[in-house]
Order: sequence, then C-alpha cells, then structure tokens
Amino acid sequence: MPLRNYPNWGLLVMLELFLISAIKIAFVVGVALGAMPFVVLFERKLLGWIQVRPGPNRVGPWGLLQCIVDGIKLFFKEEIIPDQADKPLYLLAPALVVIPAFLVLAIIPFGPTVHVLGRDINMSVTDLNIGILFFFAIASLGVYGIVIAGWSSNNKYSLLGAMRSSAQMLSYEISLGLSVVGVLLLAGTFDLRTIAEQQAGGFWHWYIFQQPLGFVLFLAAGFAETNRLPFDLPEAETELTGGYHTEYSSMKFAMFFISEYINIMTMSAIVTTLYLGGWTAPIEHGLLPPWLAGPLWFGAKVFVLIFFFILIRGTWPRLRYDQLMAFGWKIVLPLALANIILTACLVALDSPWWVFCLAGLAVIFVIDRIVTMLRRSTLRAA
Amino acid sequence: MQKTIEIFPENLELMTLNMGPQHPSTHGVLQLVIDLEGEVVRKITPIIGYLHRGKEKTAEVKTYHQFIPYTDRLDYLSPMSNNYAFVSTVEKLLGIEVTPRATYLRTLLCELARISSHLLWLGSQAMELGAATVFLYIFREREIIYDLFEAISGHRFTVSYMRVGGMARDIPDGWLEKVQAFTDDFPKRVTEYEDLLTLNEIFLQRTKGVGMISAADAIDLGLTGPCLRASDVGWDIRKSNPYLAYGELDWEMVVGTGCDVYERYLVRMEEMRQSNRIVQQCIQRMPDGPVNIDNPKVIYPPRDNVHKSMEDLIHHFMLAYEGFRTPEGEVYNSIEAPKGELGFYIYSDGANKPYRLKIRSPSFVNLQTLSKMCTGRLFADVVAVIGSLDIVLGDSDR
Amino acid sequence: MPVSILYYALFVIALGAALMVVLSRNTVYSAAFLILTMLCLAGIFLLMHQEFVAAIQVIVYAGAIMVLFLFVIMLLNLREREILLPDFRSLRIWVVLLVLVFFVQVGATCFIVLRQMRDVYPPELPPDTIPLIAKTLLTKYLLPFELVSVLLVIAIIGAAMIARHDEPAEHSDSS
Repeated sequence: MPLRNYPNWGLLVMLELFLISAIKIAFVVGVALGAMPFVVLFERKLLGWIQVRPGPNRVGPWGLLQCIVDGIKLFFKEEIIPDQADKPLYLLAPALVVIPAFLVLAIIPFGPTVHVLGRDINMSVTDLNIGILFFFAIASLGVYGIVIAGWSSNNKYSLLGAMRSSAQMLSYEISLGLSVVGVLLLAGTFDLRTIAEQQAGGFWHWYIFQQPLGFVLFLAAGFAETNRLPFDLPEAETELTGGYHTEYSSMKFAMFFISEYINIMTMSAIVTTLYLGGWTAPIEHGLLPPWLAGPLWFGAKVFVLIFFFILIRGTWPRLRYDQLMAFGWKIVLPLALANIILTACLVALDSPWWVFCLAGLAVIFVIDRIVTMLRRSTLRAA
Repeated sequence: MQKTIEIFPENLELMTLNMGPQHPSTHGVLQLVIDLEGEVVRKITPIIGYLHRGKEKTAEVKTYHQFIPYTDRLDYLSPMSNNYAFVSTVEKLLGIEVTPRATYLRTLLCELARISSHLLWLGSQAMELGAATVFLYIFREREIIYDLFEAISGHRFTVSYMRVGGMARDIPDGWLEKVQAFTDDFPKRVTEYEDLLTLNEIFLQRTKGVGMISAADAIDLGLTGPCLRASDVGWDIRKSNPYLAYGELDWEMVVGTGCDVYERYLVRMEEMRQSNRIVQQCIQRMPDGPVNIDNPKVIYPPRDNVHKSMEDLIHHFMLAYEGFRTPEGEVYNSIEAPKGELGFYIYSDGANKPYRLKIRSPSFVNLQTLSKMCTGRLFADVVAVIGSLDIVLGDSDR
Repeated sequence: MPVSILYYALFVIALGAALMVVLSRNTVYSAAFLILTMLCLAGIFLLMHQEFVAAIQVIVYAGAIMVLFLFVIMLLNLREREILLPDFRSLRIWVVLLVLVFFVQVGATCFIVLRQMRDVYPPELPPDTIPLIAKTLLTKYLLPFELVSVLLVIAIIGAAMIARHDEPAEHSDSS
C-alpha cells in the first residue's frame, strides 16, 4: 500500500499522490489501449505473411488504419439483445471481462524508479507486496465474465463455450500458480518490481535460465489462460461458432475482443517480468537514460512474446476438450510440482545458476524423449 | 420424511444441439441434430436437403448434352469426374468407344480433379482442427489447377468440358507442359503439408483413434472411396474394374489399416501422390490424333465442315435442336470419384432425354456412417469426422 | 476518515449481497451475489492491511470455488425451475432452533467486532505479513498445517473415488 508511507497525510500530500497516480494510470491505460489496435493489426499482418497472403492493406498505408475503421464499424453496428437472454447478467458480462483485464495492468512494473522533481517515482501504477498474487486473484476473476456471458445468452453454443472455459481456466490457474513458485523461491518475494530488479545486470541473470522448465509450463498455462490457440476451445470457431460471445454484437462484442488482446499483452508483460528480466537490459549499457531504456526494453520483450503468441496461432491445430484437461492435470500440473521440488532442493543446496539451468533442461529433454517414444510406439502399432 | 434429492439422476437430461445448417464446419448446409450429454454425443441425426435442386428430375426434361453442366454442380470440387461419370454412362448406353487421346486426356483430368478435391479436403480438415494456415496454403496449388482448367474449358470451377463421344475441344498448345510443371512441383508441396501435420502432436491426438469404423461396418453402410480404403478394404474401382487408361498405367491403390480419421488423412495424402504419378504418365503417353469420335449423330462435326457441307450443317442443327437419341434400355456405370463411388443410372425409352436418371453420389452414402463414427464420442470429434468424410452437400442433396 | 467510510460501505454491501444470496429465486443470481460477498470480504481484509489473506480469499473462494458452483448450476440447468428442497414442515423445531442460533451468533459477532473496532481502529500498520504468515505456519502451527494437508488429500481422493464410481464403464474415454 503506497498510503503507508504517509502517516500524516495533509491535503497537499494527498493531492500529490492523487496526481501522480492519475498520470500513471492514464499513461498505462493509454499505452495499452493505444497499442491494442496495432497488436491486432500486427497479428493479422503476420498471419497473412505466414499464410501467403497480404493481410489488411486497403485502409491507410500498410492497412494501419484498418483496426480503427473496424472499431468505428463495431461502434455503429446494431446492438442485438436476444429475446430470451437474462438481460441484467447479459449486459454485465462484457464489463466483467474488461475490468479484470485492465486491473492487472496496475501491477506491472515497466521501468525503474526515476527521480523527478525531488521525488522517487516508480514506473508502475502501484507496487503491491503481494504483486503476483494480485495477478492470480484478478486473473481468476476473469473467468466470470465468460461464464456469465455464456449462460445469460441462452444459447447452447454459448453455454458449451462457457462450461469449457470455466473448467479450463480453473484447471490452468492452478498450473499457472504452481509453475511460478520456482521463481518465487529464487526471488524470495511476491513483489514484481523486486523480482525484476533481481534480474538486472545481464541476460544471464534472467530467471528463464534458472527456470527453463517453469518458463515453458508458465507459458503453456498462460496460453490456456488467455484462450489462445491451441487452447482456444471456449470460442472454437469450427465447433461452437463463436463460443461464449456468439450472441454478442456491436460494442459488447468489441469488449470481449479488447479484453482478449489486453490479456495477451498483460500475460506477455507478466512473463517478461518474471522470466525475461522485466525492463532490465540484456547487457548493461549507458547509451540511454534509464527512464527511456527501461520501458523500451520492456516493450521489446513484450513484443517478442506477442510475436510468439501469433506464430503459434498460425501453425498449430487445436486440442480437444478432454485432451486439454488431461494435458493440464496430467502433464503440466505434475511437472510444475516437480519443478517446485527440484528448485527447492537446489535453493537449499545453494547451487549456482547453471545447475538450475541444466536440471530444468534435463527434465524437459527427458519428458520430450518419453513423449516421442510413446508416440512412436503407438504409430508403429497402428 | 424427506424427498430424496437425486443430484445425478439416472436419466440425465440430454441437451439437443442444432448444428447447422448455418455453421462454420458443416461443409455447406448440412444440419446435424445432436443429443449431447455434457460434451458426449449420444445421438446424431443428419438432416439433408437444404441444397436439393432436383437434379434427377431436371435430367428428365433436358437432353443428354444439356445435362452435362448440371453434373458440374454435383460435387462442385471435382466437376471433371462428374462430367466423366455422366458422359461415360451415356456412352455405355450408346455403345461407343472414345478415341485414345480422349481416353488419356480424361484420365489426366479426372486425376487433376482428384488432386484438387483432396487439397480442399486437406485444407478444411486442418481448419476444422484449428490450423487455419493449411487452408490458405492449399489454395496456391488449387489456383494452378483452376488456371489449367480455365485454359482448356474457359471455366475455372464449373468446367462442363467433356462431351458424349469426346471433349468440348482439344487442349491448347503448350498446355501439357504447364501440367508437367505443376506435377514436377507438386510432390514437394505434399511433403510441405505433411511436415505441418503428419507428426504434429496435437494433430495426432485429435485424429488418432477418432471416428473409428471397422471394415465390416464400412461395407455394410456402403462406405466407398478413401474412407473405405482407410478401413483396410482394398476397393478402388480404378483397380477392380479398370476404366479409361487406369489399367495401362503404373500406380498403386492406397490402403490403410487404422480405420480412423488419421488413417483417412494418410490415405488421401498418398493418393494425391499417386494421382500425380498418373498425371505424369498420362502426359508422357498422350497419343496424338483426334479428340472426338467421328460420329456426327452424337457429337458436333468440326466447325469448318458445318460451313462447307450440307450434311454437317444438318447434323449440327439436329444436335443443337433436339440432341441425339439413345437405344432403349437401362445402364449403370460408376467411377471412382475423389469422394467415393459416383454412379449414374439411366433408364432410356429411346427418346433424346433419359426417362429416369438416378445418381449414386458418394457424399450421400458416406454421410450415413457419421452416426456410427460419432456416437459416444466427444462433440469436438464430430467436426473432425465430418472433415474426414469429405462430404459435399451439392453432391449429397443433388 | 475516508477509509472507514469504505470499510462500512463494504460491510453493508457484503451483508446485502449475502441476504440476496438467500433471497434470489434464480440460482445463478445467488451464486453471483455470493461472489460479490466474497469480494467485499476480501476488500475488508485489504483495508485491514492483510493483503495476503485478501488475495487468497479472492483466489480460492471467488476464483476457484465459486466457479465450480456456477459450473454445477449451469450443468444442472436449474434456471427458472423449482429448486429441489427438503420438506421443511417436519423440521419445524430445528428451523426455529437454527434461526435462534443464527441470531445469537450475528449479535455476538457484531458486538465483538464493533468493540474491537472502537479499540484498535485504525489498526496499526503491520510489517510485511507474508513472511510472518509463512514463519508461523511452518514453525508454530506446523502440525495443524500438515494435518490439514492430509485432510485435503483425503478429500481429493474421496472426491475422485466418488466421481469414478458414478461413471458407467462405457462412458469412459481412454484417449
């Protein structure tokens, strides 16, 4: 709580606090909302290049205005509320999806502490001492929007999508939470800013090198949590037409759309903070002032992860519902537990970082071998 | 004292889900009424007829030539095969043999149609499992085939290229070289697709052991085509009852043993390679000579002669005005279309139109195995199975 | 004191939502109000500077357990239908007794809470609570902590056994 630093809050201090927070919030929300159309455009362009087609290129140079035009189109579309829908909940659902998506942005540190006008200002909306727990708490609330949207639409496809998503997100939240424990054991704190600061001083300090297994598991669970291919079952187009948002139109649909992309960005940001050193530079340099270099490095890392999200979407098929659950409970969860035990042992032994790295990579390698062997044997049997 | 609260009653209420006729993965306007228990399919009822255009009845008022464009629109993904199936049936009724050049050309075209049809199947199968990229890749190759068809018939999609007794016209100069270039390149492309899918872990999980049908069941239900061959039944009309030039060419029938969606995938991928081989051999062996038979009672005389000779003018007029007459009798002829056995049955009373025409379309018959393959499986499997059956509603509804 | 206004507001919302849980005819609404109650409780914890407890409250109750509730409600599809309830008439005496106990409890809790609040509010800012909780859990309360874990494992195994028992053989899907 930032308030605790000001036991005697005079009006001026309160005003100052308020102003600083307001500027930060405006900045973060502005950047997130401003970047979203470009993420969407980038996804469409990249998918186009993967799929030997040009992608959007009609509106503005390189289709830069495409997403804005799409937004305007959605804004002017007719709002259709199904006759049999449960109206209060139906109207509430899009808000329930968007709010958690934006709330998570509050805890992401995107730059170092800077000294402005005699004050130390952290480049993040707020630094909670429960940082990563706040992320899990809010992420777990995100499912309600989807569930309520699916149920209140009174459409069977929506309901199926909602049931899938509730089961899926519940299962993968556990994996998500457990796979991050490795990092927490190393860092000794929940605070995202501290975690990022600990990884400063060169890319070999990044936790991805000490937690390769944890990173892979977290990323897999993150894909499931954001409903992206290959885990996009709640909205699997070829099965459930649109899944939980089948019955939504106009801006309400846009809300689901926005929240999906905000979620991708926050998930990338969280992964960056936990495993890729946050805003810290891969190699120490003094070329740019820290208040500029920090956010730039942070943005670059987030961009790489978003690129990866899109690449996967362009190449992989989708899992089936039961396989998705089996993957979550029978593979990701036990491996996350194994990762905790492994990391705890190595932390207790006070091992150097390359031991962590080798141990994690060894586990990944062994699992890969086993899976390949099993697959080979079934293929041969057929 | 208390009413018993049965939380999970024995007879759980089933949810009835209407899938289609407007649905992204029912290949057109198929409607499926699915009884779901959770996500498990308990009963599945296909409802067809949304694309019924009364083709069989239409045939009774059209001359034989006039009906050829209608066959394009049966299985609109392989119009060449449909053309051939129809004209070969009429030729059988008339008792005529086409020229060697027409025979080889038709073989080549039928196999190009098979490649084109299988490519679209591949794209939609992959897309239904969530891999949208393959769907866009296959259109590169299909585009080339479209261009080839356009060069000979003037149409990209609905070609109407074959005629009773030959073809609409001979192929243009340099066309075979273009086909050769395509066939040289094509095996590499198939390998590309296989790289994307064949050993992809998710693809394997989604297709292996899904949509199983035993050989006995498949035969009982009349399944034909690649789906039947994937169930370990070595039945291919091109082999068992060779028509066109298939008997003279060197190619292999592809048979799989897996009985599942994955096996159907493997069979079709290999079939595309075999079709490519057939096309290549057809190009090498393509005989010279006329493409049409010399029988002005059945096929238009050469255009020049129409302007010069009275007899040819009359033939041309009569053919255009009322077509040709066939002997009385009935005939059934079937070919191995890309999707299975495509058969035409014609009952003729000697007029210039069929008295009754019946189409045995592979999509219609194959569709009835859907219930067998999907009952007791998960909802998501239905989509995979429909994809692997490779139905076209124009073909099944007629 | 803006913080205490927030505090009371959360109290009122929590109680109101809890009441709506019981009064709503629609089970989905009941569940939704229960979620609201949980969130308000989390907010109260937060105002007491117990961030860890607040986060756990949201993650476990609002995020996990209530999703399961909603899941079950949707699966049973109890919408707009008579909710299965036991026959209350034969239980009249128990109902009266339970209501009495309830009011005594509520009264006592209010009394204690209000008195405490007068005494200690605003509470002194505690140091970072997470290491504190961890330390006490793993030293002073190690045995109860482990016992609870064992209990949870037993519950999980029991739940799995029940679920497995109900499943008819032909439904099980090997893949």
